[in-house]
Amino acid sequence: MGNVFDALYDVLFQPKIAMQMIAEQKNISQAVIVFFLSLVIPLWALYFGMQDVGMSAMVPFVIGFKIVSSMLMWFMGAAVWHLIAEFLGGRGTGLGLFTTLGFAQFPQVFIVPLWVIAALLPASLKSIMMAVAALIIFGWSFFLTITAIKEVYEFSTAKAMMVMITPVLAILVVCAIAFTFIGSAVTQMPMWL
Amino acid sequence: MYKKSVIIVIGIVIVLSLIGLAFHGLAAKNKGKVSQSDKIGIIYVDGVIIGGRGQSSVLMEQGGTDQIIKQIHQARDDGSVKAVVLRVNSPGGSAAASQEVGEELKKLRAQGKVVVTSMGDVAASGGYWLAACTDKIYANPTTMTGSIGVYMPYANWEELYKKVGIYQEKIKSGPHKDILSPERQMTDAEREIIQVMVDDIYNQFVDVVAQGRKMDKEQVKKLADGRIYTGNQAKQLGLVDELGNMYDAIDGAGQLAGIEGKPTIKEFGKTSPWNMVFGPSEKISTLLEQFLFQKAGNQLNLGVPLEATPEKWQVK
Repeated sequence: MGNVFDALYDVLFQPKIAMQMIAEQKNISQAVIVFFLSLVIPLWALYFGMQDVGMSAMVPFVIGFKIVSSMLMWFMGAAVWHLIAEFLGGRGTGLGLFTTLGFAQFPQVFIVPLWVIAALLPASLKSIMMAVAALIIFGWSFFLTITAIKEVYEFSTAKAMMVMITPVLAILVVCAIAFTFIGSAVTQMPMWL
Repeated sequence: MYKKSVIIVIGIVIVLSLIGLAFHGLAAKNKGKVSQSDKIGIIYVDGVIIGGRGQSSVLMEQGGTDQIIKQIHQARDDGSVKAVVLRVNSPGGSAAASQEVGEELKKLRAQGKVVVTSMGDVAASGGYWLAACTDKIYANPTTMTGSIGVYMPYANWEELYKKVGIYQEKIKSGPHKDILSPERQMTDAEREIIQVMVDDIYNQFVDVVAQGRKMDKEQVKKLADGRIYTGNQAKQLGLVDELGNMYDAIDGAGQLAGIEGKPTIKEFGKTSPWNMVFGPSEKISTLLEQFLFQKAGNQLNLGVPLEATPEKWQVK
């Protein structure tokens, strides 16, 4: 896997081998390039999608939010998952996970051609096709992320899943507690029809 | 080598898709015939109408009619804004604040801009005062409106003060300097003074409605006993021109301003990122705002009635 083209091909068609190699080589610059391409290309689709539905006023906010949140998720996700993986006895490196997670976002570039196909369909099928496309891309990235964790730490699929969902579960618990308190405050507010 | 070829082909497909998407977006825009030069401005009047600057930060503006007046001036100075839709969702508030905004709306109309009101849940009292200063009023059939009248709240806490042992002594420059003080009973003379003031403000309110709605003053007085009306009733009584929602009002404003095609909407005022992301929370934020204004509303010395608000908020 000498260059970025080989790495991308392997990510798409031989993800297991690709993630092993990427974690071993830890080529950060390639990961950054792939990550930004995977971020910017779908944003192009998002920009025109929002213009299309008359939400142009929200474009700068949504795009800014997406860029900042994606970068934070990449950095913080790698850090948190690495910590959890080490707790669970994983032997990989944080840098290896960071690099593989950058490559794991690559399928998101396919959202553009899929949405173009959806845009050409009749109105009744358009939204369904867009939702299906988004679901496929999400599932593909999810699968690659699991594969990345598996190959970096030499984990089983179940253990990799556990690493991945532990922070989500923690956030859900915090949200549940917060909403319980907020809910009790809101019910005391005056309501009328 | 074949790996590189596959990725290059994928890259070409993606680039072509990006170009296709851009063309699709432009085509959709042209299809909508959006007029970029003629805009309809939207100014929101939410919550209790109260004078002052309210709260303004980098991201949002809340409360205080100074912000509304500033937005009216922005609409006046923006040559591309041909009409303004005043979206009112207010139970009323201070008479002076309502009058101040109402006068600015009249000046905006005098500049040649069309001003149309769209009533939301409630556009009563001071909210109706503003609406009466516009060219056309749209209301939902279930909107609460009307409440044309004035009251001045006065709470007598004399007995409570006695119970807790508070005795206040005042050195006054004149007999009426502490009029409306809560620690003593109002005298008949003071009641008369306040009644004359309330009547004066009431007459000014009636004048605004009569002039704005092109109705006879006596006819307005018959409707202006302080009661609230549904949008449906208000339409039958001539207090509202059309039944419809904000988008009907936008269409109506566009027609009055002679805008051809679909007008571009320009919203005045800052919108918080919270509202942008969680749009429907507007109702919750309005409720919260009104809840927080509860005390402020009770402390208004000169107020247009708030009958449209829950009973527990009203000062008896």
